[in-house]
Amino acid sequence: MKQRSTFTLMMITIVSFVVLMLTHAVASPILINRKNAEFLSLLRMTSVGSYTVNEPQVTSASLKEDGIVGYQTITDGSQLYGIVYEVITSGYNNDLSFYIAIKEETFQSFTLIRSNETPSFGGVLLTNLTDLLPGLSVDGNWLATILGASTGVTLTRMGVVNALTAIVDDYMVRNAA
Amino acid sequence: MKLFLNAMIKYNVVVYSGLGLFFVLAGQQSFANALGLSIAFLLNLLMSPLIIFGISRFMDEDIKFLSYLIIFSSVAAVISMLMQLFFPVWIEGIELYLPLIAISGVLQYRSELIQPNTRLLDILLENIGTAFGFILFILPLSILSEWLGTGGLHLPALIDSTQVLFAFTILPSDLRLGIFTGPYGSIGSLILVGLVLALIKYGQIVRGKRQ
Repeated sequence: MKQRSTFTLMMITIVSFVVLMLTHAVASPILINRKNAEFLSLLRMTSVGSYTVNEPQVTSASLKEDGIVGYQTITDGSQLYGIVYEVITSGYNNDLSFYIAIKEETFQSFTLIRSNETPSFGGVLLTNLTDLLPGLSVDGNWLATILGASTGVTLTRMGVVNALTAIVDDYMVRNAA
Repeated sequence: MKLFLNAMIKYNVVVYSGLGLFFVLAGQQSFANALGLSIAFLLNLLMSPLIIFGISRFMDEDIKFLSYLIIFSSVAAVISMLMQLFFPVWIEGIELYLPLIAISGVLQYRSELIQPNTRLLDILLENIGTAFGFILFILPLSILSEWLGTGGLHLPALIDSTQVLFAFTILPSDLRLGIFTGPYGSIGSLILVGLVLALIKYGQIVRGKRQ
């Protein structure tokens, strides 16, 4: 390889490296802040405060069976403070996706990401859950509230309730630990 | 203009060479993904050849391929990061494919056309034509695929997935096909792409016989 070629190749590599590092340095903090802000808004929090936001995790195989694909926690020392679960399940149709946020043993939010449910049928339940679920205690009457609000939409309800039951069980174990 | 049209239609990157097929299969399940992939594809095809054009006079034959590889990979990685910054919702689920645009062979294939004595305008026209050829293929397929799978079309906002730019449903839930959406979406994609390619090839054969 000629001297000129070696120099050119070296320059291309150095410039590429610098551009990549700069782009990463600019993009990374923005992406982390954006993710944290989204996570906090699901938990109805405005700032992290003295808590620690942990990295998102993939769930175990048993939780995946109920459609819970991932979770992210916020902790106070080693104690769980809040948790957001990501669910991808099926109702009447495939690809029903939502977030469930729980803090201090209370549901904070139900956020629908994607749904192929019939808007005037299962879709109504999903819209209602956004208002119904926040504020309900995880060991209280959340199930009765959902059942009362979902007459006739059996398959949509089944997808949501199965996921919520698994989430509550998992949350109880984590919260007690 | 002939260069543009040839690159877009006659030498279409999906139909003629099959080099963009992997990305069509990866991104055609949803309209938003197809748009995100189209933007990434266009940016890659614009930036990499422009950089190579600028420095090609310093590149000897023995380092040409290695230099192309470094430039393509770096540009694809930078564009991937920028897409995550500006179009995060549109590339949700296909983020991992974006850097692969560099090593797919698409850009290497295109780079063969870039020589130091080629005019910049020609390079731009050819590469925009190639990108539009890809867009011409993937966008209608993604609309059809999403319509068959979900019964309508849904375009979320660029950054906040809970906001929607537009969404409508026109197909009753009983008529929707599960193979076009969710975890089985790739089956529908494969069938649809296969059918369209077969139709295009059939059209080419019929036209060839008439001539």
